[in-house]
Amino acid sequence: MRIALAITLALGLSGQAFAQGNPGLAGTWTLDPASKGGGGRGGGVPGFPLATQLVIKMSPAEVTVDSDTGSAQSIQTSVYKTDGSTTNVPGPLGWETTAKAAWQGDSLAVTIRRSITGPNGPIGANVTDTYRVSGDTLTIERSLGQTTQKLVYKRKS
Amino acid sequence: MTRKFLIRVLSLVTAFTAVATSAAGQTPRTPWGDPDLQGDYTNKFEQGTPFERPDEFSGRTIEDVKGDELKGILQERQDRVLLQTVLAGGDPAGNLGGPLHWQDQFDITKGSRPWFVVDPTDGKIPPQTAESRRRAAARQGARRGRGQADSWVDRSLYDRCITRGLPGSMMPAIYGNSYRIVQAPGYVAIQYEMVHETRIIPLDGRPFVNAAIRSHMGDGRARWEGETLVIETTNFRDESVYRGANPETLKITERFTRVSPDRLDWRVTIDDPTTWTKPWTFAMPLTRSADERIMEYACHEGNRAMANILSAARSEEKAVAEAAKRGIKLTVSDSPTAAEGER
Repeated sequence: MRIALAITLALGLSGQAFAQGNPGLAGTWTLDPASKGGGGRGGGVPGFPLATQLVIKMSPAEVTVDSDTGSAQSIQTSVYKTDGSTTNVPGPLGWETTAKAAWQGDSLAVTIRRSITGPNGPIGANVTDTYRVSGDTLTIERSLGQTTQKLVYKRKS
Repeated sequence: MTRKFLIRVLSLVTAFTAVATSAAGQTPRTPWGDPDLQGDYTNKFEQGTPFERPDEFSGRTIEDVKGDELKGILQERQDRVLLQTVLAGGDPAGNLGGPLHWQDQFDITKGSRPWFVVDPTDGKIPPQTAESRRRAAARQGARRGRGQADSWVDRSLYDRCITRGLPGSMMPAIYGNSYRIVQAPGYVAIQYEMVHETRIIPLDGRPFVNAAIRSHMGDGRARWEGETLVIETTNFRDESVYRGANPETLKITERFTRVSPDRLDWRVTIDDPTTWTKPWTFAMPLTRSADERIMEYACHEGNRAMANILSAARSEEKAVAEAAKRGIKLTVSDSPTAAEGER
């Protein structure tokens, strides 16, 4: 009886945790060839190589994104903690790159900060990626100031 | 006693006069009476500014974009430049990127404007003439069959550490944005950190040099219009002339006006009826700062870029030829070009 209660509670808590997010985000996604970003001031957000494939894994506490840009560095793995805590993620050499993630209903909002100590002290820039899933389509809205770049991915069957 | 008293009185009168003229908005004077614009200046804060009005501001003038809106634009401009500066941190071995103290891209939020072209008020360079298009096609035709790195002569004069030309030498770039203005009776000199030219410009009304004598920075003649230093420059060379203009007919008129104790307005009118349908003007401030003294611009020392570009191009050609022997078709990639600033 106690075991059954424990299992029920565990499943319930687990379901509650996932209920804050969108389990449909998990999977393998390939960039829609028609979606090359662009748009907004200066034609998109610079400094982020376009990933042609994303592999997204989810747990109650984390979202893990493997981005394949097809470059020499190939696959880069970013782990986002959905409790809002900061994690270190891959970024340019010499820069500190961190991310903070949070579920906003069904959408996952990830704020990526790149910072460096310049001649006059620390300086950095924030970019926000918002992941939204609709059916077999994943849309990532990448925002910098007034610029929003929309990237569309299709679920790989 | 009397002499000392007189000197004190004269000093007080001089100080009072200086304050009074300053309060009246007049530029301080050199000992020989010209407006005094001398000093070390920079326009590094203007880096990343679009040259022409971006389409998103269609219908608006440069004066319309101000306050919080301009502040937001400058912040985004700063962020964009940072995100593109992937090698700013260099690498642990010190082989990539320059030291951060070389670089001027960290104060862009102190910039002043949404774009540079102020006349026409639509912020766009006027259309090119038919003659200009023909000239551009002829230049392109003359290069037909040549690669971007067949020889060092195929690289830009900037890649070759020769010049960024005029007005390119005073356009904000990732480093080297320091300028010095020095005046003497009858002359003004402007020194540019990158690529280390100094223009010495007569103020005595003498005519331009013979049309056969041409130089990368042109031949300048200066005059005062009230508080403004006006420099007209002609006699450019074909290989370094601004934006493919006609070196025979291009006239560049610069206006330097002190608009505050630490700021000059630099306004440049480009006039070449054989290239553009009408004259046009861009402007930006030069900020006076004792921290911006000109440093040595050692372009050649330790610079392996040219040799590397050419040897990489030869290696690639060899690889393409060897692949062709095996029936594999490869194409030669575009060689990178120096991307810093306006030429």
